[in-house]
Amino acid sequence: MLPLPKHFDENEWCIIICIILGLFILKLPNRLPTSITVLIVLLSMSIPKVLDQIIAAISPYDLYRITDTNKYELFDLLLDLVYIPFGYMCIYLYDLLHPRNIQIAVYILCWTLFAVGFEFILVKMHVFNYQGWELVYSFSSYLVTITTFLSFYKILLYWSKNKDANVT
Amino acid sequence: VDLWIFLFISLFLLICFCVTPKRMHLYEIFFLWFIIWMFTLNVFWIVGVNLHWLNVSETPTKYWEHTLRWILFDPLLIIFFFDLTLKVKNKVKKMFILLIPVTLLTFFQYFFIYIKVFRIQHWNASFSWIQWIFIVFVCYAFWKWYRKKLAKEGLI
Repeated sequence: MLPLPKHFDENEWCIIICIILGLFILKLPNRLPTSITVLIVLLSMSIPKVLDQIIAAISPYDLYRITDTNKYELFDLLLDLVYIPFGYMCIYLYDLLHPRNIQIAVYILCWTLFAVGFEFILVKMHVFNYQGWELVYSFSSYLVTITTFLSFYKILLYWSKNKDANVT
Repeated sequence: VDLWIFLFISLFLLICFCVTPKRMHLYEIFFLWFIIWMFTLNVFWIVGVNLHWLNVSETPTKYWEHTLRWILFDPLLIIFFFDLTLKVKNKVKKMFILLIPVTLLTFFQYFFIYIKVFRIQHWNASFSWIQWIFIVFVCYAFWKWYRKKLAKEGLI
């Protein structure tokens, strides 16, 4: 059901290395409550998955291919784990640094540049194979995604601080 | 026309869901929404992309009807019935409530086959039923786990 790669090459190695590097977030001291961490992890996995489904996987648009084939491979599933440290660190550092006013915009811009740089490496390693998508489109996509991500965290914090407002 | 009717219905149901009081905490709703996406997409990619048992139409309007369904409609339906289970204490009644979204989702999947959003290659109602039982009950189990975490933190 989940095919294994026919050739175990750079994209598979890249995913494995990213997952191993991502495990270092487990060493970080806890700053966020478990309930929020779980939601951050899920959102980090959901956003790329939703975008992959809408513009890549099966759509009439088919703008990029993930890993070797158009099939949903085991390493496509493992790729979800690569996004978790990215999302977690984005929130973790935001919570640590407490940027204010224009610093928030700078923070979002820094993460956007980092994300585009990371995507560039993934493209070079053939994890993503563009079929109409361009790296330049990713700048605006990440800008929106990271802003959404931080806004989501702010909403969670607001609800966490207002425990009395539990009725949704 | 189909797309706009479906968009209207989905958005109206979303508004109804947002304005009615619920027993769930907002975190639970977000949690369920994400986890339902994860499971429906993974199952769909195996069934649709890998096995080609159920192929989604490549006509843009049909495709967006399908997208609207998994993004908005399916999670909304499941979360609504999960919220309903908090009303009852009896386990048999809870099971019965959980089977309602399974039946409805199977019905809607077939409705989508009827309106040609999906093309069947190797699919029948029992597959659909099994697919939704799997998604609904696994999500229910994860939700229960997350609910315990929230209770531990004193949020519910």
